[in-house]
Amino acid sequence: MKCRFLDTGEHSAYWNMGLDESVLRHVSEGKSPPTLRFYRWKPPAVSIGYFQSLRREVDFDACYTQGVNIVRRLTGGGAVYHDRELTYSFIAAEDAVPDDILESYKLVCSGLIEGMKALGVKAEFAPLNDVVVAGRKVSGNAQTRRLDCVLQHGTVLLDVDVDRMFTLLKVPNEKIKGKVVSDVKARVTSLKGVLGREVPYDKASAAFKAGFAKALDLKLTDGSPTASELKLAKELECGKYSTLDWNDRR
Amino acid sequence: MKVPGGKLLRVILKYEGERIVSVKFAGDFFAYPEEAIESLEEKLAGVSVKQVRGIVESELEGVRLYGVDAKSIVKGVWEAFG
Repeated sequence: MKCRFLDTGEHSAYWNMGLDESVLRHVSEGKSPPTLRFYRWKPPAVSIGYFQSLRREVDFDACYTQGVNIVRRLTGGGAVYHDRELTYSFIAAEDAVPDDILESYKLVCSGLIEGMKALGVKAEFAPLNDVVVAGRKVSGNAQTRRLDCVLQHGTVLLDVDVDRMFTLLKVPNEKIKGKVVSDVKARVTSLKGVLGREVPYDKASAAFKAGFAKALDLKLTDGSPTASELKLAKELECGKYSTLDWNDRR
Repeated sequence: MKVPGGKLLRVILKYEGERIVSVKFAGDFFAYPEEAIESLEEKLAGVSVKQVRGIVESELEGVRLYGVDAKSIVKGVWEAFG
């Protein structure tokens, strides 16, 4: 399949989620080709799942004090702290992936596994939506099906700071926070944690781009967002993803 | 409440006697399509607790759910009534 490749660099959480939805809408209307996008977050951000309760999951004051954006995603799943990571989105007509949700996660995640292989990391798919190395999560993914399209986005942790993450996220029971933090430390790692050295973003980006191309059989062409995509992304950034109406809706 | 499989379902319920005023379901689950959950919340507003199971089962028929299921949603509403 022919597919456009975008690396849109560092942006706010609101713009990042705005561009994902904008590309989805353009692909759905036949105005844009299937797209693989890589991006980063500046400032760092917490994203919450479509159905999560903002005030129950996120420490609003801590995020504000630390300059961390908070955004609700278009996709389900859990809260994620986005800092030292590579984030991707894959957006295509729904028939580009298996109808079965699990199988489609597996297919898109195979791009990540292939990329990790090139970096010397043996990773596996862990249903429903994780990629793990020796049982520890290095990548979380989330997918929505809308407007006859699939949008899957996810993150590969280049490095992880679980303690910092839990200064921003709430746990259901504060009394057992220490245990929750140590459980997460045991269950989550990063490419740095696995390899014992930093993986520079550019190296990771090249590996995952080639990994997706191989695993999903994509003929990638480097591109940029169109003027129309950027216009809608800006509208969604300002009118949806940065608003309390959207972020605090449950 | 914990859903079998380990995900968390929060039921945010306002009620008067045995009648639901409003209900929202929150958590780290997935629903395809997502709007099925919003439509269920609308359908449950104003109904008696006795009707919950029937409405949840019919509204969620054919909806693909991960990390939550109709049974847990019904149980969650019942428990939230206290």
